[in-house]
Amino acid sequence: MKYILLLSLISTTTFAKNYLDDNLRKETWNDIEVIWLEDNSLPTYDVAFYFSEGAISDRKGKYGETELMFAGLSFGTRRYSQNAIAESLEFYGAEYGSRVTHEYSTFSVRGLVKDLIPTMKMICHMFDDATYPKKELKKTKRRVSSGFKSMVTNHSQLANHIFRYESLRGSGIEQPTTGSIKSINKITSRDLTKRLGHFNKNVKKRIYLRGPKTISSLKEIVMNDCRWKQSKKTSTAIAKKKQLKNSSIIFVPVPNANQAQIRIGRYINKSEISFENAEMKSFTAKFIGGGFTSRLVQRLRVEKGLTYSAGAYASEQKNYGRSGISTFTKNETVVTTLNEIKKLIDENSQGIPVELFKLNQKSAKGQYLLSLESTSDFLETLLFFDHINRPYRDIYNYSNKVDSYSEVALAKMVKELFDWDRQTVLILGNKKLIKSLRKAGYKVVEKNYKNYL
Amino acid sequence: MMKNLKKLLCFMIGMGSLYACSQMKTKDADSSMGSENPELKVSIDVKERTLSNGLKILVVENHKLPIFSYYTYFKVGGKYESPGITGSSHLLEHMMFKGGKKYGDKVFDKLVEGNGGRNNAYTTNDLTVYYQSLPSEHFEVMADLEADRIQNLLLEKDSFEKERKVVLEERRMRYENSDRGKLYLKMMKEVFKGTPYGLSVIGTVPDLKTVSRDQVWDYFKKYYAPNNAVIVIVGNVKADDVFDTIDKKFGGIAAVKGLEETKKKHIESMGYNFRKDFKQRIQLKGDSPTPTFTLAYKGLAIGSREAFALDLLSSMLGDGESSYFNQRFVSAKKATLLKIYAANYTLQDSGVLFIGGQLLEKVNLKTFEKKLRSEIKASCENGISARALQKVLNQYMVSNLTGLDTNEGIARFIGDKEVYYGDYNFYKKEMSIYNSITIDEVRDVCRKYLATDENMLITIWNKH
Repeated sequence: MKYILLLSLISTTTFAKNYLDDNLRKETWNDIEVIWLEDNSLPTYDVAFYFSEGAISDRKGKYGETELMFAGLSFGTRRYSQNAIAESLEFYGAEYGSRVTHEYSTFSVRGLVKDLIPTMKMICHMFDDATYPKKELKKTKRRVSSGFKSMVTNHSQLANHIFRYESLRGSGIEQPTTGSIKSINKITSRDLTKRLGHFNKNVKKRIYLRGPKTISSLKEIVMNDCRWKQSKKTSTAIAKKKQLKNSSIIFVPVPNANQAQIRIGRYINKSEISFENAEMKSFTAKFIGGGFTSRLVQRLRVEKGLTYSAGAYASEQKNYGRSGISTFTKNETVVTTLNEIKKLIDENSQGIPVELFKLNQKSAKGQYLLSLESTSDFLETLLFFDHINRPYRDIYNYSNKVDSYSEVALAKMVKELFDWDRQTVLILGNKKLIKSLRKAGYKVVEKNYKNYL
Repeated sequence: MMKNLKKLLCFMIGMGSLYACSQMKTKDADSSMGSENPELKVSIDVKERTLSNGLKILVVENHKLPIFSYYTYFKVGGKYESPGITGSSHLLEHMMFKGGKKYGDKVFDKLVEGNGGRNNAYTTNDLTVYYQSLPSEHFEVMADLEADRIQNLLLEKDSFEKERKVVLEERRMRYENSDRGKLYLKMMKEVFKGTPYGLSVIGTVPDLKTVSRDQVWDYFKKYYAPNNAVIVIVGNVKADDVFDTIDKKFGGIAAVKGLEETKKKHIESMGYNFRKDFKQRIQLKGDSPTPTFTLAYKGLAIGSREAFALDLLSSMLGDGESSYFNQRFVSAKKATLLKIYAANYTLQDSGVLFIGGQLLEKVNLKTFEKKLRSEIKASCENGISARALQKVLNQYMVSNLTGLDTNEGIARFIGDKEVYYGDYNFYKKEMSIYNSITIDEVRDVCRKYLATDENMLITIWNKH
């Protein structure tokens, strides 16, 4: 099979606005909806299986069950060992893996079109026949345990991990999708087989494809080898309402640190979520901490030289969301950095200069277009829009929506998302910093990182 | 756990991100072989022009979306520094975002992001690379911004002092507070000791604290020249318009005379010979509860047939769940490692082949080391097979094709080939080289470069 990439011949008319009209196809296989972005530019394909259930329904004490269920698909089947599965899929150059959120899960595969059939047959066989052999599970548990304990060597990752627990505490989703050493150790081979059976039979699925026409051969494989049953049910477990308040700074000491990780953020309750203001939240996070012109980077890095990087985020799923700020600084400037962030949020909650607002508007619109460039990323956007029941046309209405914002509304959203009194604040670093934080008037509660592993 | 084609250990330091090393074997290979040996032809329509001052421009028109990516490669990196000014290339990369005199301070980022774009940069031992992506109508202003900062860089004292602090913060984040970072920094320092690659790209702390604005300015004048740069533009542009615009903006910038001689002289003052006492055991104090290790071997510069064979070897042995080392140490019945990988890091003028991993709890380091050394020697016979070779070639092909999905991916793909091989079309030759390498050749390089006692073991954990 020969493919010639003549990039210069790609039509100038397939710009974002009519891209979907030209390339999107919808089908139904065994009652499962299929969303297919036809793309003949490369001899590769992307497949993403969407499952409408995630880690929120992991049983108490067995957190991490869904993620381990997907990861363990390759542990072995009645026909193939772990090694045989890995050997086969890697031989075809396939890249594969799962992503589990609290609300939904995906399993994605990427490979060469010419090897689609053997690759996808193996993937479907894994879903149909995974046995989670005890010996493989035991080895995995040992690796998971070592992996958790080694997190202390990556301060940023450890801070994110603990911050998740603390900022979501009380919401019902504070447990990470990965679980903990304790919860993983409680999961048995039987638990995983049962969980997989539940996903195969009782969880709603959708299939997302990117690739040329020839990948239609996937239909038969899905129908005959995956043998999934479609379900109309979606997960009923939802995150709880959480009260938002700022109390003490949570301080997590780690040995030998000469730099402290700072995390500030909050949980977004379901009552605050709507299509109407979803983009406004990300627009606000971008204004505060997205890119070199953002307020945080300008203040903390360019003006003060306090950090190398500072960022903000605000993202939502169907029933909950999170917003926050993330940065780091040397031990000597932790208090200064915290004070600067507080000041910056306060200033920008009061009002925003028109030129900065306009810069953020232009920047957001252009970068949204850039984010749709990769067809694989575009496919992921469609998957997420379907998950939250949002129409695709909203993708193309982004620019108009951003044009409708005002600097007053932006300032209001800065206050809403980042108001200090509603944030959880976590600092991970050298223990001696507790003293300087207290001296500066902050209340501090010390916690041991080992309790979060 | 399930992701194959793992991102290997690699550090490129830059304004805002960590990138996968382009010259790591998992990224830099290409192949026409598939599972059934089909021939895959990839042809990118590149138009090129070289200005009279030596500036080379490569353009790929891609009209899929109304956007473009703009890459500028400067053929200067950490290897051109000297003790006392280590970290200058990288510090200069940071200062380049202050922009030039025509537009003034704090305008560069505003114009890029304010026009809906994004930008960043990175520095390696060999190169400094700047890149932006924007909506197509802003091509001219982007070219003007780039030309301005090359001609009239704002290197003001105040902002220089602030950026010095920022880089020290970056150093703490990447290396001083990370076992992985400490290990990598030490490996590069010790493996390439006495050569230009042994100098720290991020810079030593004393150098970063003392290097002066004037020293960095001299460095800038010496190396930021049109005859030391390649510009790659990919996207919704017309090649002829690009050539005209670049000519208009950059054509008047004078080439630096004697640049090649300066570079040659600098390199020759140190040379690339590996240290005579290469065989070392180094222990570092870290925070990891179990030992993390790197076993490093003398490698080769990018481009030789043996270097390509070493790419294949390291992938066969250490890439993916089914790789030889993974099956022996991670997936084995009596597993000893949490993870393992092998990498062939080919630089422009030298290289290092290394195996790295982390021990599981209750595994004795000495016992493990003995087993590792014995498995490495056995791997030249047991780990290399026709199927393993085919598997690696398939993986390279997927990896390369995936990268061609975006303008940035294409720009980097051809830009890297141009600066490393002097030929943006080299990916075509590279494919046939990989395809022509035999199992016996892979075995030969395994025996020659890996099954040797001339290696350096560096370990880090909290018990050292």
